[in-house]
Amino acid sequence: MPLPQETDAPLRVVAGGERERPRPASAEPRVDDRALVQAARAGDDAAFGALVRLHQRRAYAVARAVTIEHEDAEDAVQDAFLHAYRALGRFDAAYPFGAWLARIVANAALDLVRRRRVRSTEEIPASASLPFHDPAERAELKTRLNEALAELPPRQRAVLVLHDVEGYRHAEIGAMLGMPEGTARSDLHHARTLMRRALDDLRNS
Amino acid sequence: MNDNELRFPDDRPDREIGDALRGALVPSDATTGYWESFEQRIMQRVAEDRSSPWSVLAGWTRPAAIAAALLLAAASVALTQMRHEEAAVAYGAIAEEQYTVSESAPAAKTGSDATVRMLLEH
Repeated sequence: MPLPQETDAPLRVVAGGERERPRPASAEPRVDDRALVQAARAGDDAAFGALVRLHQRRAYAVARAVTIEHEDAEDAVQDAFLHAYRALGRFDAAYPFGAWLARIVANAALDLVRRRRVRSTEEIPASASLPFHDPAERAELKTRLNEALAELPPRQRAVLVLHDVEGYRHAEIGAMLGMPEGTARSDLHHARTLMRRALDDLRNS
Repeated sequence: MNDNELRFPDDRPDREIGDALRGALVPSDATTGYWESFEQRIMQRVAEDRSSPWSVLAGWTRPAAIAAALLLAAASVALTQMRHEEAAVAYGAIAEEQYTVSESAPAAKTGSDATVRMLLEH
């Protein structure tokens, strides 16, 4: 089977410089995903590798939002893909693989944050170290945004990224994180308030 | 904007926040090389997990659980049947005993009646 080589960038620039919104989670699963899942289930490692290639960036973004730290995000994504590999047989191919994986990633990241908390018996500091070494023009924005994210509880971070970055709906997020839709809505409201304040501060500084 | 969006403005993704976060939630060295290397690390973990003896056991967990559940169900059915049979045997024994008693009772009664009759007659 010819395997897709392109990576799944979370946001693609399309004709006219317009950015394409992320595909809604409830949309039809991509044919590529379905075929790859079937092949991976049959023991084709290359097919699973292609699924990793297609989804690792979005998985990383979700994990990074929840864990804040780069290394933790990598660990959570690896755990999530491993879990997905083991559970492929139970995956219902009628649903989008991306949504299933996002749920696993978000929960793996939340678990990791919980474990870290129990181990250190303290909250993640608001000024968590930010391992960015990007050009200066982006570094300030990244740092401020990550500082603002770190002020939020992990679950609110997960809701924010799943909704505003990944484009999932409240009901879908509720199902992913095992909470009522109203709670997802409320979490998003609180998270957005803080993020908007951070962006305003950045604009005014 | 439809009615639902007017009532729940939070239903639509916030484009500004989304774009800002997309730019922030990437590794510092997010080059093609980084992603290729990350993919390889993930696949290496998958390969290690598959070759681990624990993963073989993990693979048997579900069939083993199903087999155990079936065995338990079969044992429950067998136990229930055994109890029913024991009850039937016990009931049968009691019924037989009562039958024997009721069989012998009229004889006794008949015997005593005969004695009374003999005493009255003589």
